[in-house]
Amino acid sequence: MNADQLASFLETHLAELPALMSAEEWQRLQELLQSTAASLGETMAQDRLEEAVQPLYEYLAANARVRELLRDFSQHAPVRLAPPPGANPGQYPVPQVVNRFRQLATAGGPSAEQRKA
Amino acid sequence: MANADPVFPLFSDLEYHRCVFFLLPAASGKPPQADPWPPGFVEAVNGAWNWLGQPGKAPLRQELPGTLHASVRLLAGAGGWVQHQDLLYGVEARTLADTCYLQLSVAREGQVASDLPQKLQAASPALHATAALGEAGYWFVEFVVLPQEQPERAQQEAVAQAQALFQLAPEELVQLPLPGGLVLLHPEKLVAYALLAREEQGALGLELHRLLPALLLNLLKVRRVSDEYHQLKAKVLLEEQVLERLMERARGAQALSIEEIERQAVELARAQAEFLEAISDLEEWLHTLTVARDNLQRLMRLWSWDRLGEQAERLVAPVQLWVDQLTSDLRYFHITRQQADLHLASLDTAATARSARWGRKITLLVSLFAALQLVQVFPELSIGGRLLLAGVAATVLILGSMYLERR
Repeated sequence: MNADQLASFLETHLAELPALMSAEEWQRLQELLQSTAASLGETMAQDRLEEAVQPLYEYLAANARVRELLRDFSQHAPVRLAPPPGANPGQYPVPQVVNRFRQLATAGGPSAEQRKA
Repeated sequence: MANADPVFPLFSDLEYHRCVFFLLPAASGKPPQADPWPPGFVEAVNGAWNWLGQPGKAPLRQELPGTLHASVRLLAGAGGWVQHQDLLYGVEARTLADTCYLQLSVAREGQVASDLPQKLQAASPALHATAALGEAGYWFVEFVVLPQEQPERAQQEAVAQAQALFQLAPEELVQLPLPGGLVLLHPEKLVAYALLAREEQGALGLELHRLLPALLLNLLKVRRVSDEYHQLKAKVLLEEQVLERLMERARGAQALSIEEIERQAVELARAQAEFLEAISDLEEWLHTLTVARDNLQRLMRLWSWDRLGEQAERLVAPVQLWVDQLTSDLRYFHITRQQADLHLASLDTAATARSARWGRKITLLVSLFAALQLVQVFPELSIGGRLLLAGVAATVLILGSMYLERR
């Protein structure tokens, strides 16, 4: 989660956070937000920006209920299934020894006694 | 919040893949026939094709591929997902070692509600493939790892949620790590649960579509052998009892007539042949298990799962236990076979000794008859002379008889 995503997250969910946190946690978050905003400069490089918001992210992720919200927020990217089995090539090697299964093949069929008869 | 079920917010994109395996005719020891496919396979594939929403018969290959160590696709076409309302359906058919299998897939994009596994299972069609070797299944589910999050911690959470979602007991599962996820394998149910990190879905998903059917197939073979072994062993024990009864009777054979000894030898040889045939079935099952165990280990080496210690052991140890059990049972059965060999040899010796004794008696009778004939060759001898000659001949024969008896 980069700084932009974190900012979007806070814009979207700031109103919910007090309900998910204790009063002390909420107070600490406000202090952290103020100190983070104070440290951000207009011309700050992207990597410095990420470093600056890292404590804020870690603080949010430390709360289990907010963490769920963070994860849910990060899921808004387009969903995609794994490729279906048919996407595999028409032929691929299988490292398996092939043998015969007469016993298994006759299971459910005629018994040995019936075959003899 | 777009999440339909807050219990499983970590997961999305649940897929259910079900594989139904059929033994290829060559593997079942049947002679070549006009229809190259196992009984019930074509019907099952056509049924699945119609379930997919496609009319008519499935575009199945007309002949078996000749390759031995490759999995070959049997259906023509793209093999992608087909949408039906909010679910996606897929059908695939391939060869795999000594089998061919039909794969039925159902998936739903998006968030995972707690009733989704049951919904996907219910959407999969009912198959009446009684001739099938068996079936196994695997699930794919995607889980989110936050960028700053420790992957191990995210995986632990995913495992806990998967156990809740699929209602699994931790002690029943074998955990097999992947680069970007892990597989939870339930060897008893023959079901695997692949938890894949969102970024790893693509290539890893395809690799697992190759690996998991093969892994589950070997476990299925072991299951079939272990399920049906007690029946086969009971049959061998029955043959062994017959053989032991005949061996017990053969112990007193020295006093019997040649005809009776020969009759017992024939009965014993016949029972031994049937016993050997039953043992050879066991030998075949032992070989089946050994090959399945080796194949399992080969597959585990592909992902270095063989180095997992306890987890790898939990997968291979039950198979090895069955291999050891069959080896032990066979050892005892072979001891019985060796005893039968000894009894047959003993009957043969008794018959030979009895034949030799009769041979000597017949020789003496013939000789006596010859001696009496000899007296008649000299008609000019007096009565006393003829009696003396007969007496000398009889004495020689009695001494010869004593000599022969002592040999």
